[in-house]
Amino acid sequence: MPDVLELVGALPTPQWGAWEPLALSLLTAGAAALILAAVAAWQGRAPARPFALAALAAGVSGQAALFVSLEQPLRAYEFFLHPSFTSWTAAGAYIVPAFLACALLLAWRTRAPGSAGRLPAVAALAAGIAVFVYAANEIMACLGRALWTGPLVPPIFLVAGLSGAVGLAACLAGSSRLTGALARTLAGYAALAVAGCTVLAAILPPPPGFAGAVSLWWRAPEALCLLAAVVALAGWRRPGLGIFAAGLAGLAGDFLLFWKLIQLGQAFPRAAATVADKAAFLDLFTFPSLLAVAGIGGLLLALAALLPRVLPQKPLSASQGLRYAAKEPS
Amino acid sequence: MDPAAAAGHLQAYSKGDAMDRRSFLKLLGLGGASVGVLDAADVLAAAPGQGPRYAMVVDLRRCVGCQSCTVSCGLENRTPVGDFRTTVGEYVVRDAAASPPLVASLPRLCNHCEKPACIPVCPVGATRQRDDGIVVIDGSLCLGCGFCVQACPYGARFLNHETKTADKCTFCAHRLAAGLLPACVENCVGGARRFGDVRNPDSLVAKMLRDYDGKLAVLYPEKKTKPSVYYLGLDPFFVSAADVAAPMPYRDLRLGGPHA
Repeated sequence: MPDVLELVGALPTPQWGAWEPLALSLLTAGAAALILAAVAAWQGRAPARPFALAALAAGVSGQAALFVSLEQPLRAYEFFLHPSFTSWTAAGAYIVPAFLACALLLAWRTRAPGSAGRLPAVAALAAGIAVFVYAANEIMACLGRALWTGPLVPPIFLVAGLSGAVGLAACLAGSSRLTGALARTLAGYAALAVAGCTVLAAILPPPPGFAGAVSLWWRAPEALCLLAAVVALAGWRRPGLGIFAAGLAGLAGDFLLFWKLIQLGQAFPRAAATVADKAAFLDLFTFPSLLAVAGIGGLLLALAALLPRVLPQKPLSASQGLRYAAKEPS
Repeated sequence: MDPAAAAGHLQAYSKGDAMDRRSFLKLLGLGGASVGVLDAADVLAAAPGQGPRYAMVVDLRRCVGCQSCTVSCGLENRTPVGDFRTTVGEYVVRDAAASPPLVASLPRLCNHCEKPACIPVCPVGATRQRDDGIVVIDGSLCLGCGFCVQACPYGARFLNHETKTADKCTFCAHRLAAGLLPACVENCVGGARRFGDVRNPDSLVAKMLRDYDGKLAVLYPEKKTKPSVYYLGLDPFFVSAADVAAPMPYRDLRLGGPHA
């Protein structure tokens, strides 16, 4: 094999900005939250409520990020006028609204603990799984990106989604005075999940041919993930701010893992030799990216604050309370 | 490759094997004559009874890396500054068995694949393949989601932030409709880009495919996209997507390193 040095090459800029990692992190968080809500609702357990609210808030925010990520968002009606039967993105145009409807139904039904019903739980479970299948296949269909077609992609979607889901649910449960013990449990799981995100970000290999060309910036997302994991581990036992910190760390782990997969995945050119891993990571701190994160973060915060008020929890009857208390940790 | 060694070899090569003026003029005349062979009417003529199926053969032995194709394509198709429908990469190739090292050019463009990776991922059918094999984008349908850009194994597409749609080479379909050759073919100073109808046995491309059977290569055959852009004289190093050249050490260049 000869030694080859590139003299002239056109280095393309990343085609996707911060919107796509934001959309994927929130959609997977919503999907994981809906699956967990469905399982809890089936068993009539308390986590169904924060998970259903988290699924709805993350799903709406993720859908908004997806919409804004289009160059021509006002042409979104074309998804329905000219649907393609080979594209997972086209399938997503139907799956995501169905997922949001299921999340809304479950959030409505879990207003009274233990009364969600099994049919909504089954529908929510199917919708959550469908979002995972759609989102992962949509990315894995991009043959041109070697990083996106590897065997680690499905576990990345799953672990990132779980991290975002338990993180957001911990924040939602932490804001309710009724669910303090539950919030602490969820924050603990968020700390575990963000540690999982760190491991996956660390073991994700660069594409063949580029292994020797990456710089230390390739490792920057997992360094931030590790920081988030330390914050989560330090905070999950402490009520109040500690639980919120652990919950936010879970969301951060979700986002950073997708930043590594999507943004740093675009750092490897297909028609040139120079890896732009530094620029791809530092794109996180550019004004458009920070604006996107602030915008979607603001929407998520607004929904997290609004949804418990729009869909308020019903008070327990005495008999319900006894049954319910027997199932939950004190 | 050690950049200092590469620079030294290049210098030696340029001194030792310098082409004399007579040889250069002879080659120039031959090149000009061969460019004259590319008459648009002959190239575009379809075989009787069936429509054309267009392809390109890039004769790398004739490519001098002058970027005429890059510039003429940009002017013809008004691509935004910094975005390209075609580019020419240039490399120093040093084989342990052969010396001195060579400078190799590699023009890249949309491969108008028989099995394109970009078409199935388009959610609204905006990207489609015409009967003549040209892969086109319907700008009135395209949402600019960018999945086709990410799916292309050749990096031949980009999101055009002026038109807010995906963009790529169309083999200058608008020029073909007017009976003209693609801009890059017409402006290639070495006559390296050959374009035509593979279904017409008399076309230059069909003849080259016959005459150089076994010597032509396509980029990234492992992606199973069946490209319609063929290369003659392609170094095997460039065939697989997994073989990546060493990048130019720009830092050394800026600091005044050995090849600054």
